Amino acid sequence: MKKGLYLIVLLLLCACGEAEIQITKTTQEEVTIAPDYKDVTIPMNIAPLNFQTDLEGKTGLVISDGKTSISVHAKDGVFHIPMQSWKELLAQNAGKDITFTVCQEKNGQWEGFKPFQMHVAPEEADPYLAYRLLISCYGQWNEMGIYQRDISTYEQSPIFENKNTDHNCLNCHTFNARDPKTMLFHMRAKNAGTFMLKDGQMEKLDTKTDSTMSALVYPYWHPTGDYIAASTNITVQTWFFNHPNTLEVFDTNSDVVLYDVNKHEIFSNQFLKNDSVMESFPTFSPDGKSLYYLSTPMRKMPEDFKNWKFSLCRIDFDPATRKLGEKVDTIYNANTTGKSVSFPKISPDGKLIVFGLQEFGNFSAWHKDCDLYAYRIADGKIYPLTEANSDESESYHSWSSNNRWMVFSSRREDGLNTRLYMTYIDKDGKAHKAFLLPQDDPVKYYAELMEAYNLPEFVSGKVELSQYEVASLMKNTEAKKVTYSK
Amino acid sequence: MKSLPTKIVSLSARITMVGIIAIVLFLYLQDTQEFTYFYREQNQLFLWDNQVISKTLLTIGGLCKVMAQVLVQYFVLAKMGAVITTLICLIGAHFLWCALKNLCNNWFMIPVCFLPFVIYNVYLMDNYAKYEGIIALCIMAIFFWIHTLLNNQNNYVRLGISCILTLIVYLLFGSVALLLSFCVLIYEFILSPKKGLLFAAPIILVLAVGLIAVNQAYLIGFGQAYGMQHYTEYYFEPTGFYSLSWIITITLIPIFWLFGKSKINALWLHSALAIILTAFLPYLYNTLGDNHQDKGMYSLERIIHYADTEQWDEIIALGHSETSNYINLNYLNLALSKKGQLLEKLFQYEQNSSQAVFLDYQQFTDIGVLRARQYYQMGAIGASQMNAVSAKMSMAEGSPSMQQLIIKNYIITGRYKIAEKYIQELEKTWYYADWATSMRKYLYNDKAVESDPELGMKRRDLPKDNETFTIYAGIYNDTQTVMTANPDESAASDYAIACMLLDKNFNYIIPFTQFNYENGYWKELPERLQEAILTAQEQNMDFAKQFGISDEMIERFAQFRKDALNLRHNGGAVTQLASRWGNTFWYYMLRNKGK
Repeated sequence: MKKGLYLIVLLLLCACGEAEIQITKTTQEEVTIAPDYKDVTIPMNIAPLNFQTDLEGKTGLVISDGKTSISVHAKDGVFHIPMQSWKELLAQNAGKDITFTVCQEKNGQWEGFKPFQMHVAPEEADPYLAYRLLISCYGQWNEMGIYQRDISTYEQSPIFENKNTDHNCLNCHTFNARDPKTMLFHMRAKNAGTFMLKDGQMEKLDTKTDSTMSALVYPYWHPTGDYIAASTNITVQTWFFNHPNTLEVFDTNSDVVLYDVNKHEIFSNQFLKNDSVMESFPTFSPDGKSLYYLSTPMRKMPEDFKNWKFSLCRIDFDPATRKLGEKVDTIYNANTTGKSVSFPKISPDGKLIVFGLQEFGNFSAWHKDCDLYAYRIADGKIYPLTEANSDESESYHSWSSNNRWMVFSSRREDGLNTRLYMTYIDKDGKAHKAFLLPQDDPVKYYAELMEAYNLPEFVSGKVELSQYEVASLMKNTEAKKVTYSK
Repeated sequence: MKSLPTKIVSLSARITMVGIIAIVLFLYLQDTQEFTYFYREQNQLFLWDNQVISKTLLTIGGLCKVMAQVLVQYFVLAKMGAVITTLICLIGAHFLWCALKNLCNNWFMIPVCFLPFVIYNVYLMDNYAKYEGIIALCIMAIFFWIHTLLNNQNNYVRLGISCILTLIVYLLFGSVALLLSFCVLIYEFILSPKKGLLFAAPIILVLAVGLIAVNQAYLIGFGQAYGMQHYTEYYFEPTGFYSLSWIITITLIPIFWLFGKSKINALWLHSALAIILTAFLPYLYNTLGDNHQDKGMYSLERIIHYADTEQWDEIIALGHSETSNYINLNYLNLALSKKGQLLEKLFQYEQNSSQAVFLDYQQFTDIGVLRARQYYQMGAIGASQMNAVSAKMSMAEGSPSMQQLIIKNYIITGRYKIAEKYIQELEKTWYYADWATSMRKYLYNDKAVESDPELGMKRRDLPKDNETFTIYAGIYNDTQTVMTANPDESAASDYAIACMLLDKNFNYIIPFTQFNYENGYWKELPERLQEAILTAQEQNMDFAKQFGISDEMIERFAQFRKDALNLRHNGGAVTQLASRWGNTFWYYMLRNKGK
């Protein structure tokens, strides 16, 4: 009886744990891994960065910090790193490197390839990522949703899926400083309106007024939560016959306005709502006293698309009086540099503005040449985030609360489907080699995922929304009409 | 106790009757829904992939959806839709009979058990009704029968098992569990009016689970949680008619009970009732189907099937009978273009504007599919891809034919990585896997693409200047871009000319011809275009001659004018010219004068 019990316990142990790998010999031969996680910098709270090799036969992996090691045996070529051991290892190695040695069994001995490192940053990233998933948009859609991902696991859950609201279009989800209790997103087509969640209270808004050309489009929250800066746009997309960019999204007109959340009023001024200029993509500085936005002279579109270049501008804003400044500063001048700015985002400490730079246009996801650049506010220096960039488009990005992490979308995988990458931004404002958002079986997962990631945002906690309640609100409630204050 | 010969007679009568019903049902389904089955198959891309299947299984009604998708993928084979559907109906009706014969074991009642399934087949004439619905109904019949097997158990055991069965049906097959729970209640009530009410518990259970499912957003609304909306497309509100099948199923229980109580024992009467009830089934299907089926849609489904399978001659053969709307005409003209006969036969059909050749964009999936094919045919690959991806996206479950077009377009434009991704996906299907694998030879192999007759031609259609927009500036701009890149792409010029001629658009005809002729893109003008040039320049034959228009053609034009003038003097109708001149632009102009 006892023997039987021991046998069961032994079998269970064998089933649960992995036999320790003793590497007897290490060579200098490089092994190719997919995704490429070699020498990346990672946050302590990230899920295991599983990867695979194309080695044949029995392969193993030893992850070590010099004191502790984790042995992983490949299953179908994939190293599934045990979650708990990984977390413990990362917690013990904040600010240090951990070494990965891939090995192969030969004649009963484990022979290791040239080891590589991952650098564990001392700073964590915000625990959640929110993003939209949809098939790269070609005009029509069916299913899409806004999802959140716990970055310390592989768990993804819906914030809201459009199947709840007659498969309409969901877009532009935005949080106030990564707060999961204060957010908004728009619905277009059926049940149209803006869904707003402020301190847990839900509201449906109709933000189109007689004085604005459209409802609010690209929004950004004021740090106080009392205002939202947003563009109003008449947006069109056209397709190329045969261009690496596939298509061009452009506006025939656009303005920037501010929305007073408490008074349900929209206001602007002559600089932000100028008939001879197109303004778009507003963003507040972390102190709330500056409003940055993109600007370009009015053009005939799409004929003049190659000259549609956006400068980055700034204007003062006094949140106490709602007063906008009387002069505009040009931070980055597209006329002199010949490049066009997209998606400016300011770090929470107010030191860096990161934006996309491309030959023309402002919808960088469809611009193969778009790379991320940083503008250092202290001395005006502009430089590329080389370690984060690739030959394909890098576009929408967002900052972590502690300024050290940036998540961005990139099409480097196949030139079409955006995937999420995280990069560490060090104290000097330099980006470190970016890594693909981990998955349990990442190569298979991304190869089979037909949807693209869109608008990744760090969130400081889980968004707790009842989809049923949101759907009921958006389907059954008349939207609160917003007015324009002249 | 029945004697053996009586039993044999009874058994053979039953088998004959069920056989007749099955054959008649199959024939009716094949006749009325053949192309709907093909259309259903084209509206899904079922992948044999554990992850995809398990994801579906984890949804409410997921097993039902997977079963439907597995079966529908075989609809690509001729007659398989009708065969499979008939079998489902047979199984469902059989188990319903097995359940209900406890109340009335008179074999003439067997045809009555087909009633809910026959009615359900009427719903399936409509693409808004998902195929899952008939599977769910069949499963319901099986579970109801299982419940009736528990007759010997005590009430509480039966109740417990019944609740579990209902829950299983709800989770795996969806809202049909409510129908099951009602059937159980009525059945139990009939057996024991006193204790039968206990069996309201499964209904309460379904209502509770449905409430939770809706609140947790597993299901969208109470229509999906408790009604037929679970088995229809989300954008469709099922009318009361869509509940008829379920209502009849419930009603059958007291009807069987009542007949069970009656004293109808004469064999002749049984036979007569069996014949009447059997004959009633096709009558019911016909009557309901006639009112329910959208004939225009069915006609389009037929054309779409021929296009999916590249049976262009079949579309052309339908010709005159199928020109009732613009989509049909667009497909007819696409088929003519595929056969190189677009201009030659342009005026042989009733069409009077370019809309018949190239329909304005509308946000309907079928139009997206059509335009993806038209743009591909004329060589505007970027526009074809935009429409193909959009159309595929708008079909929630995918589209094999659009996926194939997407793969070809990505290969043509040299975007091999993405093409490979789509190939990989298509390789997981049962029917299209071989085709998908056969496309691998083109990946990362420009030479193979360029030497392929079809793909090579389309690659040459791509403009050298890659900054040209497509769609935005209209069909003339798109076709001109293709012709400039590849003058051999006659489909592009044929489409442009067809549109100009049908619209009698002389503002385009002359400059368009001049540009293409003078730049050497056209060596010789098509006859229909020559006719248009002569019409436009009837006072200046020298102008016409510069495009190589022959004296013979000029003489023909003179003859036409003479005939037309004679006719006018004799007070004849324009249509009298049709026999000789009906296929000319001149006749088209005359017939559509002032339109």
